Amino acid sequence: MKPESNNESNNHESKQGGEGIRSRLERFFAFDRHDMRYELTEREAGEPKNFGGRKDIAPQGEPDFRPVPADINAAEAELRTVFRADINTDVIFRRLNIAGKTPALIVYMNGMASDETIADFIMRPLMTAKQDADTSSEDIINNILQVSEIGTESDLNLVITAITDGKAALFVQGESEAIIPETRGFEKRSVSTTENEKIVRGPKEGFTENLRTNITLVRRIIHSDDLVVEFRPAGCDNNIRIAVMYRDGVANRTLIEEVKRRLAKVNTRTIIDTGMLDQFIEGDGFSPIPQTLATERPDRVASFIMQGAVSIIADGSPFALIMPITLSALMNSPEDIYMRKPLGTLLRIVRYAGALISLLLPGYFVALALYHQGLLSTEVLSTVIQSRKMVFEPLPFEMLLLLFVFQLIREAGMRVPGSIGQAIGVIGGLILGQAAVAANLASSVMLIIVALSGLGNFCVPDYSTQIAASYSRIAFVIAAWLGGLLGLAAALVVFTAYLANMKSFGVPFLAPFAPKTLSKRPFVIRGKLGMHHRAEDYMNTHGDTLPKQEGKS
Amino acid sequence: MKQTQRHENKQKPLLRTAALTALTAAVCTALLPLCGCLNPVSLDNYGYVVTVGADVGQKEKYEVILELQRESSNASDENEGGAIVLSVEAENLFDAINKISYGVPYELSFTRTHIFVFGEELARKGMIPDFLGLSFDTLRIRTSAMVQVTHCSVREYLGGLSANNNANLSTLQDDIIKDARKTGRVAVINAARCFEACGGGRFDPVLPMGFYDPKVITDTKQKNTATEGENPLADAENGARLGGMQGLTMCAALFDGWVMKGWLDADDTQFMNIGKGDFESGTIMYDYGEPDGAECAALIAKLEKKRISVNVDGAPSAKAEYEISLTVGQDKSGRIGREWRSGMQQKLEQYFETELARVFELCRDCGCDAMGFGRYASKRFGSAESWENLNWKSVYPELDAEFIVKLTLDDEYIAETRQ
Amino acid sequence: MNLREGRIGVREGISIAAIAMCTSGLFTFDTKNTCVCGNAAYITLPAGGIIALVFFIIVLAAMRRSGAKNLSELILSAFGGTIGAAVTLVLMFCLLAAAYSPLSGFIQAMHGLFFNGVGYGKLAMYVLPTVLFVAWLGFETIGRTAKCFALLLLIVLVVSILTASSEFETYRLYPFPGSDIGLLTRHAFSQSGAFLPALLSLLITCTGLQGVHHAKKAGVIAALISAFVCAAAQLAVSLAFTYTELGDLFMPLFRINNLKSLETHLLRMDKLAHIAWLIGGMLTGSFYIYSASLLFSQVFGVRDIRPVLSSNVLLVGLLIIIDFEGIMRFLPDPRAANAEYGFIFIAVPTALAAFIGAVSAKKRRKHS
Repeated sequence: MKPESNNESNNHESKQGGEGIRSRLERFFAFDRHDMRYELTEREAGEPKNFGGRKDIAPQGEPDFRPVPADINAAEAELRTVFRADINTDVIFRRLNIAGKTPALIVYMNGMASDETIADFIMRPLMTAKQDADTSSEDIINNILQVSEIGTESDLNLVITAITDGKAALFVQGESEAIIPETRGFEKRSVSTTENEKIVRGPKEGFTENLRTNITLVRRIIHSDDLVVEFRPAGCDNNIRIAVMYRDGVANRTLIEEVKRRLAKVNTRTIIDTGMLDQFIEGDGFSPIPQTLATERPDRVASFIMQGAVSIIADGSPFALIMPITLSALMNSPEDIYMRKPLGTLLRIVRYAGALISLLLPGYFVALALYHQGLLSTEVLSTVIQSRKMVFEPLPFEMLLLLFVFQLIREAGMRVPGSIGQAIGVIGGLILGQAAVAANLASSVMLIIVALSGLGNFCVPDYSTQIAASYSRIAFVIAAWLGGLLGLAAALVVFTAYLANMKSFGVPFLAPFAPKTLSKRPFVIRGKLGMHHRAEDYMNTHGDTLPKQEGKS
Repeated sequence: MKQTQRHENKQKPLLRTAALTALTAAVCTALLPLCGCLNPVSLDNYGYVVTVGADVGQKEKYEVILELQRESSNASDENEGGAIVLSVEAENLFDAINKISYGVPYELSFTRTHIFVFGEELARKGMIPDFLGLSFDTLRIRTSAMVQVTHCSVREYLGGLSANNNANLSTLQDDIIKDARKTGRVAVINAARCFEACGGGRFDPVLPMGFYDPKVITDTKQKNTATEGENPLADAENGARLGGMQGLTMCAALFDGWVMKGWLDADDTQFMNIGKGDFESGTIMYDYGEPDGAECAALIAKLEKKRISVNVDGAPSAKAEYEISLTVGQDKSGRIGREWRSGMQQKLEQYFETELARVFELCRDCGCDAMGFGRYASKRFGSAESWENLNWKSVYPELDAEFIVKLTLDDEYIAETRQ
Repeated sequence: MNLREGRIGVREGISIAAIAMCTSGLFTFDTKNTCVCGNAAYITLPAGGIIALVFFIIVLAAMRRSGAKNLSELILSAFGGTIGAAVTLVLMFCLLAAAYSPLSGFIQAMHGLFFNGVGYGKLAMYVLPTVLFVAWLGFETIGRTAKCFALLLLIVLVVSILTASSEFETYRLYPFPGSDIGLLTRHAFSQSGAFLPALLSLLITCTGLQGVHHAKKAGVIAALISAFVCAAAQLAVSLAFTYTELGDLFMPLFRINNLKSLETHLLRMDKLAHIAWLIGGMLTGSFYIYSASLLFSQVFGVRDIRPVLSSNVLLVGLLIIIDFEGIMRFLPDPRAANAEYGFIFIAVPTALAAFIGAVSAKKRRKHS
């Protein structure tokens, strides 16, 4: 083999280097790679290409199986090590003899498990069982223990999880599985009204931090046998459980699989609230607009599940996640449905108008004031000029400052508890505003514009969307400052295109308006309640047949 | 172990996202100086020119008068407002703007210019297009701006309009025009229509006239005695009117192209508007013309329909038919109603026809197609070439117009007066 | 492949095609050449729309016959590789010219009517990145964004016309050049060039429209709506301005609301309406540039459309700057030339491709 000359080897190296740079650039820009986003809404010609979502991500790894030791001493020793019993006195290890003869060990978490349940319905029956009673696991479960919910577990990892959940673990000498009776009895908040989603007409109950309670609240509304609740770990080191709720046979199977696939990807240290979980499973983490709906209301969750959506409830969080959602889901309040059609429609129109005013009014005013004064009527022009006579800041700075102060007052009012929080709002609004005008820091006209914009912002029912809108309007103000109505128009087109491009779990965000689907549910105007026929066409639920199969739709 | 794997797995996409974000931010930052701001000027840094006036200058070609809206300092004070009137002599409008700008602490904005006012002398010399043409293109003035001619000096007229410290001059001017239109005693035209008239050759512009009445006392503090001006009839020497504006808008200036040739008084303007078809409603005084001095009847006329046809084959001729409904505003003798069916209708129709013909001849003698017969003449042509070959301006002086008026009076009124 | 086609429904297709056709028909209309002999635009423009529609249906029929799923397949099956590439380049530049026309018109309007003394380049820096952003996100986004704005633009146009209606006079329609049928026919064919780029773009993006029959539905409905809207708008303009005025008037639809007196209306409709239609112009530009890039990518086998998109936007931007800076002032006005002759460069190659494609498909079927 002829050795390569230096030149040739240099060329080869440089070629490789050139190709290397090119391929690196291609990888960096994702050149020639289709984004392969999961799509749920069907095509007019049938199912979409990547309907099933991406299949290339492996499910969450399960931890290795650890058998339960048959010897209770070994089990106790292992558990004492796992729970660091020498320094962690929360875990209680209670030895007893079943029927006076068979040694057993009960392990439970102090405060999480109910002492009364353990003492009255587990220990007493075990200790006072007849001497000739059989002490196998099956006999103990069937004949001795007096607890309503009971299970067995042969994997020590799952036994540990059950103990941390608040259940007790009963180890019987010689048995290679632990008996797990339901003994949870920790202190929890009782069901009360929602903090953030108050409505005038409709149910007032809200979720609590207890998973079982939350599921019960939903089940009280959906008395349907197809309501499925799948429990799974959240994928975090603090081992909280989540429940995935949907209607089997209604919710699209691929949607359920896609949700589970995304949940399986979650592998993190801590998840305290569904908000944290949401950030792992949403599609676009950088989007200011949420792609799932977080709600405290069981009626809202039930309503979406009935339509074919999927809901996730996490233990320890009073907020449930709903997916997929559209813009109308974020902008609508459950009250719209509980009111009569004309009233519901009016409320929605006001809400959408408020949202538009919130987004566009400050920017529009800045554009007119800086570039297109001819569009203002003489009275408005005169008033604005007079009100700004001694204000030292340039007009756009004044607008941005006031928007920022508005955000400050809002945040301060939320953080300060109780009646003081309300006072902050009054103080900020009235006194600060008046003082600012008197000190020539702001003009009265500008204050009114910011106040109107703020009121419009509060019309948006969803908190995350509210925040997104309140910061998006700053972008519009800057666009108007730079380019007047031209800048504002460009920003509006970009914003609308961004929303049109967004998808929430495969459903276009602006559905059923753009794309127009066969859904009969109008986007803004609240249709008749009877218009549920094909209302969820964009979610591609089961039973949603194509038009030619139905006849007239 | 788990954490390390987790960390590594997340590292690459995070790096890529961070790099992309940084790249995007860099591009946006680089774009900003490229696009930059588009020369914004805050609205309180402008002086808004509401009216632009021009007269023949003493030393320079023009005397340019600008009327700026003055904002009220206190919304509750009704007397605050009005205008700032600035004037300077210059070669053209831009020269004037430069000169005026030196002496004012703000930039002049013409986006709210509402009226152009020209002195009669300037109008008669045909100097209006030199002024108007450049203004709209360069200063971005709306072509809906009204155009007007003043019988007095422009400065006096504008001063008379703004003497009452009215807060909103544009609305004031608009209201003047709107109210005047309802009486039919003023011609109304805007710059767009002036350009159409002089460019298209189908009609001639007819501009409203402005007058200045110094006898109007606008401020009660100016009265010399306690009762001065309170009784207009009694104080004819000291002031015919108290209150209102010293600047008045009425009548019609007749133009042949861009050159003013004459003007019609208020009564003739009414008939000119009827002939043109722009008459909405107005009060027409009918003098019975009897030697014993019987009073006039005040007739509120409303133009219902018009039908105009022009024939240019051979001798040019026009036939104009009008249907006018009348309501009697005041008729002490009651003759209108009583004699309506026994000859009064024909008398009035003849009166209207005679007046229309007379006003038409006045306009025609000035070379002004005030009634716009050219518009109807153009309908007879199937191509622009043939229409342009006609040269309506040369044909119009030969035009013979026949006016036919049909009047209607409310039957109830007739029945009442006949009782 | 990353061609960002996505999939849109018929309504989105109608929206984007109608916006594109109306924008091209109303805001790139060459009043100077068209109105010199009288104004019949309210007849010739919708007639041009019908001509373009008939052409579109014929080409679609040829596509169906040849089994081509989109225009690029038709071109390749008709002309093969080399000639097909040349034809593709011609069509691509026609679409870029069609994108350039409204964008440059709007930028010129911004310069002349809105922003005092601001350079064209600065204004283009607001318009072109927006166009690129929307096109970059893909055909799906273009269609859905168009759906969001379609009704708003229609309402704005209707309100503009109604607001100005008190200034309408029938005498301004005369002299009506009805006697010169040849002239009217010539104008109708020229003005079909306002509709052809949008219909051509629908042919190119058939896959995104989920099939040839959906593209046909979208094209037919959009063309009919646009023809009606353009006719109504041109009639309004003709009633507001005489042909002599129109010959010198830039953006008559803007001027139509400039006739009303200031303080009589709270809304100063002229500028607001124009800004609304600027949005339509940006969407039109995105649509044309996207479809030009898609055609190029499909024929030349480019796997990712984004570099082509960026290059095309830069090309259009360059053309705008060259035009406004007067660098090529010895050449005829590109907008006027495009309005006058653009239809030839679109129609002829497409018609040839349709004819050859249909004939060769027939031959193939015979042999098989």
